[in-house]
Amino acid sequence: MRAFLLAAAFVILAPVVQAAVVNGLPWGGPDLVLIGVVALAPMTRHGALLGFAAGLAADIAPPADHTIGRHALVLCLAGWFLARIPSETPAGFGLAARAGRPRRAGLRSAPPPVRAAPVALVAVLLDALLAVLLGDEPRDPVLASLPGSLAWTVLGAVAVSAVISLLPWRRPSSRRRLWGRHA
Amino acid sequence: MRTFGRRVPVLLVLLSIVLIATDRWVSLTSLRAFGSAVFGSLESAASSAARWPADTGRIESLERENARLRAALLARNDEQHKRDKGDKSDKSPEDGYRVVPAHTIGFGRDQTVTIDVGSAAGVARDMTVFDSDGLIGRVVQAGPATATVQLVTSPSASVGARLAGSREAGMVEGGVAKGGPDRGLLRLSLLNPEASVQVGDDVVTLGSPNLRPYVPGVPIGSVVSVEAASGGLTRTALVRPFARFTALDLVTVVLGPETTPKSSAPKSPEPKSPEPKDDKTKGDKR
Repeated sequence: MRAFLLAAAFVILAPVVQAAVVNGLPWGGPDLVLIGVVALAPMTRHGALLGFAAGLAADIAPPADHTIGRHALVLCLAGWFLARIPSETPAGFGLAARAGRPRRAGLRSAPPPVRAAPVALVAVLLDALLAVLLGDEPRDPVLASLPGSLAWTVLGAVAVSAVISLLPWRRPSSRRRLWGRHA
Repeated sequence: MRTFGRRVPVLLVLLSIVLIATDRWVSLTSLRAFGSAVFGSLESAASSAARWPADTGRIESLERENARLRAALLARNDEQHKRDKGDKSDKSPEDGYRVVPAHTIGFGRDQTVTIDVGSAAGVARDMTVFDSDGLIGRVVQAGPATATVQLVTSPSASVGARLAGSREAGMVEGGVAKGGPDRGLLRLSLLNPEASVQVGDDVVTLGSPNLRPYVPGVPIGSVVSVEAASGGLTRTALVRPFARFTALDLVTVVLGPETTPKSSAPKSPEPKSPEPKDDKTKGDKR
């Protein structure tokens, strides 16, 4: 329940804070929604749902003017990917864990901040690619803003994941069970 | 439940793709209106809370500023009207405009901002937005309580413009140089390749039929550098916009021409009906 409330609050508030505060900063800023999905998805099995909801919220929250579904698609994939890699797979965790095992054995055993970085990187790149392909933005401005947004978002994702993984959420024995059950 | 880990994500990915495809062909305006109602209201509330300490005692000065802005716009249009009497592109400048003030409450990553008025206040797509410094942009979406404004600095923005002095017409486009010292500048392309343009010349909007998307005579910026004439079809120059897009606060949205000279219309809540006819007929309608 706690995880669900956290996720719901995140989905509703992140686009608002992004639009009202972060995007108004003169020196640029991170993509809070993406960072939040990357940081929260490993805590739940329903990362794809979390990513989809957060992405859709970011798609429709004003002043977004791009194709609806773009962030939803990117973040759904990111959340799915991260949620499918449980930090230590308990026996019989589910189909998801087994399906994810063979290809990503190296990433799977890495701590959350290390896993967050490549996912955030790929998500930003995929979003930029989709923005150009869907005609939301011309190519040159996207390319020009890419280094800045990559730096902000990848570093932010690593930092937030690190903080979340260091926080004493639960005793280690009960943690996996609780987070696996609730979304 | 065991298959949740695979089936639901696949469905969600498919749903995202369906959303993208749908929004490409038929714009999902209802979904955007929902977003405006939910997230726009939250942005509005957050912005009001942040403004609250500064707002006490500020309303009066804002009202005064607003009145001054309207007067300035009126005077400018009057002046312009006198100068080009034969020019039929200008609409009823002597009437002034119905305007509504708004606050900037959210910023987008792609050169858009949210303002805290929407279709409930009569705002609709393709209306001019400006502030006390100059042109801001045009409304690209109007939700129930908020609207999205595309800034003139957006790469996809293009505004019909003219030089304030020589009346040479052209086009101003955003997204010139993304980084470096030229960041935030606009490119002016004059239709006449032999037009004389100097650093410091002011650029104003040309105006569109029916006042949409841009009303005539709103200051855009001043020329900061003239690009060497290369025998092309147009003459180009870089323009620094007057508006400070990083510090937007109070802006004005032009709803349309003033329907009756006496009624100051901003408080009338009914949505503006588009007037395809020339403004000369409006006296008869009343």
